[in-house]
Amino acid sequence: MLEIKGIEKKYRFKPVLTGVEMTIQPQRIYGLLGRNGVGKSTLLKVITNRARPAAGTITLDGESVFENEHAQNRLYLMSDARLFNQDTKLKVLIKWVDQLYGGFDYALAEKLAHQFKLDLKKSKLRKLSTGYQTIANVIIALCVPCDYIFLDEPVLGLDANHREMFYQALLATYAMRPRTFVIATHLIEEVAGLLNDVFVLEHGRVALAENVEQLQQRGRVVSGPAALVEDYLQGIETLRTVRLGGMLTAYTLDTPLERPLPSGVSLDGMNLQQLFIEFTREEGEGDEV
Amino acid sequence: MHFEADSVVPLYQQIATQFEAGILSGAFAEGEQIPSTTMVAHNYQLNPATVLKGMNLLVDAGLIEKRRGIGMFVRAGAQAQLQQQAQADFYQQRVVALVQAAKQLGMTQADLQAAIEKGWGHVGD
Amino acid sequence: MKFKAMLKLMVRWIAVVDVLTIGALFLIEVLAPLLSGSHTATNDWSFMSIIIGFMGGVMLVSTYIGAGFQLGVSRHTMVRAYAAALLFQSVLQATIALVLNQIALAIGVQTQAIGAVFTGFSGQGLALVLIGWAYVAVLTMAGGGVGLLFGLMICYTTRRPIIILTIILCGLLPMVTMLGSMLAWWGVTSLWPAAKSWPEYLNQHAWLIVGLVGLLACAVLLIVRTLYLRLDAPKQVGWRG
Repeated sequence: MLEIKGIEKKYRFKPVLTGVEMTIQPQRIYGLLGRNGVGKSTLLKVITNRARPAAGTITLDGESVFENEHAQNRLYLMSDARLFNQDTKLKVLIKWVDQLYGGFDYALAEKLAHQFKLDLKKSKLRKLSTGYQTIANVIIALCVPCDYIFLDEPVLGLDANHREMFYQALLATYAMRPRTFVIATHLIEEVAGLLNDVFVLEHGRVALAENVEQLQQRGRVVSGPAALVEDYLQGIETLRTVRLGGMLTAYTLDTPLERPLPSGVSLDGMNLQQLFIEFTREEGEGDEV
Repeated sequence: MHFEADSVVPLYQQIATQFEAGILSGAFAEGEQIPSTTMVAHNYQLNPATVLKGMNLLVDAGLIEKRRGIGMFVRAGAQAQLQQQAQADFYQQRVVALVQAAKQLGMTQADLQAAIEKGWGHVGD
Repeated sequence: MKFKAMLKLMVRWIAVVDVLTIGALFLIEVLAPLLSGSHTATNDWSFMSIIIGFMGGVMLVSTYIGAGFQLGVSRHTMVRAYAAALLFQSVLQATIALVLNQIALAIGVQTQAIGAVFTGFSGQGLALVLIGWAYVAVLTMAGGGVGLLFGLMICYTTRRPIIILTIILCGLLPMVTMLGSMLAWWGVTSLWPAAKSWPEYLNQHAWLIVGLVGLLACAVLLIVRTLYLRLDAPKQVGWRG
């Protein structure tokens, strides 16, 4: 279990993370969601010892992960950071990964490379397109023998077919060798079905940490004649309300399920992406036409 | 199979429902193996835990059984069981809504009965 | 824990580059003059070892800093690995220098070592040979340490003008250093006339020079360590823009 407590991080004197608290369990698939620039990548870098936090602790099964190679050997971060010289050959990169982590799954890498039509033996990093650099990084991430894999935008630049292939590859290896995946992504709708739980980062902190299914049970869109809807949602906190003529639509996470739904008022669910949008919507966003 | 991400019905429940529909229609015949959790998860890009939860609903309802090391199979009598269940649910699920809709549109009981007779005659099997 | 693996990667690379560089230098500095007819070669091992050590340091950082962060190696281990790799380079370089020098002598090239410390290379007694060897080694270490710093600066500076300015400064560095040391020397001797006897003293006790340069190398490495432990991973490795 990975426990993250009170993590703070500034970037050029501006606070990015202001007290992140998270618990990541083994063998689960997590989504890490947040608006652009909220600090998802920063948090992932702090966890994997690439960035030093200003405050806070992170422990893996009790031992601190900072500057701790024993712990870091069980964690792996895949991101778009180009930390290797672009003249490096892909197979050399993989060899380094194997030498530093031990136990790289070459068989799986070959299989995935074949599926994605990536030449593991000949490719040089520089010669790969953005999409294929991502594919290469993702394949490596799926083949390291680590217990916690962090994927920062793993489908960046991938076409729709490759994205689907990635999700399927992820599930396949997860079934073969269950481990934790934390996926930071903006393509929420696509990934929602894969996730067990989700974290939403907002204003430098974890604003929401919940099981996806439970969250989706809470999220509702209530729509109908304004007076009826307002009455139904008396005293209930809403994420947003939209008025169109005499009709009112309200988005909420706290549906009063014990109250009877008045006739003429509809109650619909929200998919994770819609839920996220409403939850993290800022003042004034999306109101203008 | 099709799953709605924005439904009020949880995904695991939708999975169970769709498998029930398959058993009811005979697409998944009695005694036959149904797709594994891994296969369903793979095909629809769903977390295996979700799929497993749905399958367990079917196990608890006595519709499918897990055979260790082999897979999951439709139990004998499952189709009949579901048919009975559906007939029992028919009133609550269909009739109530039908009557409500008719009343909202201002139809009388006679209007509705006439419509049903017409439908029974015209709608094919 | 990852020290050995990282060091292995570094060392393999350094060994190859070192041998190639020194081989090339030997060809240029020793064989070429010989072939062109003259029998003397100015082989300033002190200058060359600093430069080669410096380049080694720069290359070590640019090649491995990113890998260290990507592959779960702690900053502490990376610093130890850099230092160990530089040590390896220094020992290798000093040894190759010694061997090459002996070869040059054997084939009749008169090498004029600049710096009294290098009379040892001409074979006048084992003690002086060892001092000469140690001198090249610590110079390489010192150059390597500065190279590490320079490599870090390149990795973390995002503005091209600063990089260009730094490269120009480095080019002027020998002249700047000479001017600087001359001024410093003038300053010290005017304050303490007794200091004038130091060079003679040092030349007679060559180990002191080796020791001082060694201390300098250690100081630089300590600075590298202090800096490195505070760093976040660079955004990008390799030439930008």
